[in-house]
Amino acid sequence: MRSLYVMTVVFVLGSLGLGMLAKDEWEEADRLEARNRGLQVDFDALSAESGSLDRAEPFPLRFKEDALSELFSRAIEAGEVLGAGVRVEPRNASMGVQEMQFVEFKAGVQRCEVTLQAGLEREGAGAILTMLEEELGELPVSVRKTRVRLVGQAVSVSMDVDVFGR
Amino acid sequence: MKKFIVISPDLVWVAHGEGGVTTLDDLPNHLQTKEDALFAILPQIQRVVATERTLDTVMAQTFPPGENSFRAEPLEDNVFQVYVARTDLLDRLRSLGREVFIVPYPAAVRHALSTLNPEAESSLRERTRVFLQALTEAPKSDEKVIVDVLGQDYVITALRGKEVLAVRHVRGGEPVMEMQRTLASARMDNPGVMSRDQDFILELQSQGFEAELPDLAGLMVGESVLDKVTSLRYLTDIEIARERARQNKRKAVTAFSVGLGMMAITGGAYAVVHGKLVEQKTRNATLTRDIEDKQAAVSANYQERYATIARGESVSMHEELFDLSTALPPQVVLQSLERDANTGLVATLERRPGAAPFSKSDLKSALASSPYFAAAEIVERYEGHLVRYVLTVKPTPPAAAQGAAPAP
Repeated sequence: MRSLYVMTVVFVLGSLGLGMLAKDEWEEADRLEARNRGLQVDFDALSAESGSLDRAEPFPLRFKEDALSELFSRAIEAGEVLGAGVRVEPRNASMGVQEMQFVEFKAGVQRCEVTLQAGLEREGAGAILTMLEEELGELPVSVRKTRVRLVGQAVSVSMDVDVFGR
Repeated sequence: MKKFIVISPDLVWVAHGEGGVTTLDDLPNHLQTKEDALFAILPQIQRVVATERTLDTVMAQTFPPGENSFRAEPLEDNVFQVYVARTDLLDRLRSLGREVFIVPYPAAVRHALSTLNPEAESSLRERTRVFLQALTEAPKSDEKVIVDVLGQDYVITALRGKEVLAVRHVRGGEPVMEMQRTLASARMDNPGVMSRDQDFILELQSQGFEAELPDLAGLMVGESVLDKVTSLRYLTDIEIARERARQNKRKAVTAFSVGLGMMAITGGAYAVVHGKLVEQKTRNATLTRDIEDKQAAVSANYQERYATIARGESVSMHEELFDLSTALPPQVVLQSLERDANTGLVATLERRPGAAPFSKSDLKSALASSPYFAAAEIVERYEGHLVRYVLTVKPTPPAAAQGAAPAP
C-alpha cells in the first residue's frame, strides 16, 4: 500500500516536472515558429530577388579600386581630348568628405558616390556630354543626375555617378 | 438460514418456518451451534450531522465506545442515519451461530415498503397519467407509520421518506394511543399507517386514519426482507478492520490510477510538444541553411549581373541637349538642362534681350516636332526685365524600376 502511495507521489511530481518542461518547450517552439515565419519571408524575398537578377545579362563587377581607377582615367582622358578640365570628387565633398568611400550597397556589391564635373567653352557642351556618357556606358556605374549650365560663354557639366565594385 | 427479530429479551419473533414467539434465553434451543442465523434488532435511531471522517468522534460523544456499536448510512450530504446497538447484545447473538448476521429491523421495514412502491416499475404512459393527476390532486405524503402487532406487544416504526424517525416497542396499552404518541414525538402530520394486523387496520379506519394492509408475507412487515438489508449488518472488529483495509486499498489504487493517468497525459502532452519543438528546430536549421545558400547565390549573382542593372538605371542627356539646341527659336537661349531619374527633365530658357516679338505659344510651336520636349510643361517666369521659360518633362516609369534589367 505504501509503495502505491510513494509511486503516486512520484507520478504526480513527475507529471509536474514534465508539465513544466512541456510548458518551456511549448514557448520555445512558439518562438521558433514565429522566427521561422520571418525566415521564410526572408527566403521568399531572396528567391524573388535572385529571380529578377537572373533576367539581367551577365556583366561581372570589377574590384572596387579598379572600377574607380577606370572611371578616373576615362573621364580625365575624355576631358583632355576636348580640352576640358574634368574633376572627379566625392559626392559630399562640400560637406567635408575628402576620400572616395565605398559602402555596402547590396549583397556583395560596394558603392561609391562621386560627382564628375567638367567645364569648357559653350559650343563643346554637347560633345563633352556625349563623350562622357559613352565612356561611362562601358563602366559598372549608374548616372543618377546630369546638369548642364551656361555660365557666360562657358558651360559647366555636372554628373552624379554611383560607381559599383566588389 | 434461520431468521429472528429480537424485539426485547423477553420477546423474540421467529421469522422462519411457521413463525412464533420465543425469548432471548430460549434462542439456543432454536439454533444449533454450527448453523447460520440472521437477527434483526430494534436499535436506537439517531440522525447525525457529520462527515465520514468525523462520524466516529461525534458518535463517541453520545454513545460511549465499547458499550455500543453503530451502523450508519448517508441520508444527505454530511447527514447520517445511525442505528445504535448494545455491544453485549450483539456479542450474545453472535455466539449463537456459526455465521451470524445482525441487521437493524427499521431498515428491513423501509426496504419492504420500497418493494410496495409501484412507481419504480411504471411505464412512460403511466408516469404521464400520474403527472396529469398530480396537477389536480394534492401530493401524497412520504410519511409512514408501520405498526407490527404481536399479541399485546406492538412495534411502531415511523418513516419519513428514506429516514427512520423512530422505532418503539410498546407492551400492552392502547395501540392507537401509543401510535399517536409516536406521531407527536416524531412531529408527523397524518401519515399513512400500515400493519399486517387486519383488526387493527379496521379499527384505525373506523377512527378516520388512512390505514392499509400491505401485501407482504409474515406477521411483521419487515420479516420477509431481512436478508435484503445485510449490507447494513453490524460488523465485527475483524470485519471493520477488513472493510477499512479494503477502503484504504481502494483509495490507494484510485490515487495510483489518477497519478498514473496524470503521468500518462502529461507524458503524452510532453511528447507532442517535444515533437513540435524538434520539428521547428529542424525547420529553423533548414531555413537558416537555405537562406545562407541563397544569400551566397544572390551575392554572387549581384557581382555577376548588377553592373548591367546599374547601367540600365543610368540617365543620359546628350540627345536631349542636341535636340533642344537645334529646336530652339533664335529669340531664346538655353541656360541650363538637368535630368534626374526621379524628377525628370528640366530645361531653363532665357529670352534674348532685344529679340523679335515672342510668346509661349511660339515656343510650343517650335518644340512641337521635338521627340523629347513636345509634351513638356512650359512655365513662363518674369524676373525684372528677364523672361524665363521652364520646360519640365515628367519621367516615364522606367523598366528598371519594375524589376526588369535592360541589356547594356
